[in-house]
Amino acid sequence: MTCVECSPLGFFLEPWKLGIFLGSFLIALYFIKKIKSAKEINKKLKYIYLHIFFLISPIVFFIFLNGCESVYANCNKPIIVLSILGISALTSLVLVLISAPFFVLKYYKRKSVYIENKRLLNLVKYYSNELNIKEPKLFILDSAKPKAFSFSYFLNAIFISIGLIELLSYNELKAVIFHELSHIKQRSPLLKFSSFMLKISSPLAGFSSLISELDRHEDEADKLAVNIQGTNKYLLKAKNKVREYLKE
Amino acid sequence: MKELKLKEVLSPLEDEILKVIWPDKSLKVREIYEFLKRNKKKVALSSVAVLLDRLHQRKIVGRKVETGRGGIRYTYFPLKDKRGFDRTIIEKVVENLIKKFGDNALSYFDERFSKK
Repeated sequence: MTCVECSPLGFFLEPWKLGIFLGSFLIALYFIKKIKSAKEINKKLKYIYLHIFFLISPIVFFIFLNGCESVYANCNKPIIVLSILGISALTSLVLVLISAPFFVLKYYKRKSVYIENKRLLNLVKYYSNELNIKEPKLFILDSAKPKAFSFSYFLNAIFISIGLIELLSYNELKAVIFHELSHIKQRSPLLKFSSFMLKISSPLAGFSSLISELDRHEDEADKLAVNIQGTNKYLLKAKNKVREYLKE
Repeated sequence: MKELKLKEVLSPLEDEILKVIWPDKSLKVREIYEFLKRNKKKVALSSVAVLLDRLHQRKIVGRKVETGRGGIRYTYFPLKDKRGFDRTIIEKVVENLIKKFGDNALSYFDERFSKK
């Protein structure tokens, strides 16, 4: 005879367990909607992380609670449930930190179109060699807004939007690409990412020196673009054009 | 009268942009910008780009990605002919009037058009 309470489905026989699972799932669905409607990258990232967190935390909770119940008879005591909830939340956070960049990259790759522009690809290849960094993949974001950012977690990538390509001249675009290559060399994307995670998870984030470190990285990235091109006019023009666009 | 209605719903530059691509042209942002610059005193490329994106979001113009020697660009084209577009504007204006004035708007339309 099978023991229904012993099976994974038995987990849901108790209403409060089913409630936690369904509640988390609904919150995860809510954040999917928020990802779509968010306009700023930081907000999108925040919602991606929250979505993944609420998706996996009930599974982690189920694993820990099941483990507890197989060993200890009184796992339903409030203090034990709360402890397991706390440990599950912490474990889920760590799992999110490790896995979320995969989803972030996948999210932006899905919004990208394939590029055959040999000029840009050769430019990235040549200067990656010069800077002694692993050649980043170049993705073109299907977006009319002028955007450029780099990614260096488990692979190097540069994302530039069609809107940026339309707005800038070739030399101005080169300045932006040099700027992003410098970020990859300095591993700024990882730092920005960590700074962002710190901001959303810790009330003490303001005491960290990450912001001044990021400012330094921005200055270094600008310097590299200026050094390679021998002038700051293209970089300044690129920044002004983007600023004008965002003001509209 | 039709010109006046267009300007009430669209900004002046949006209106000018649509006139460039009507009835059935498919143009890049820079091409529309160059055309407007030839005929208008002051227009920024960023303004044209922003407004085309907004018109696309409002489903007034469509766009597709085109790759070529010059790189990768959007090409914008009108989603409706002028008649269809005018109808959309009229529908929106009427909807807004009904939302704002409710029964008063409905009884006005009833009196006005039943006389005809």
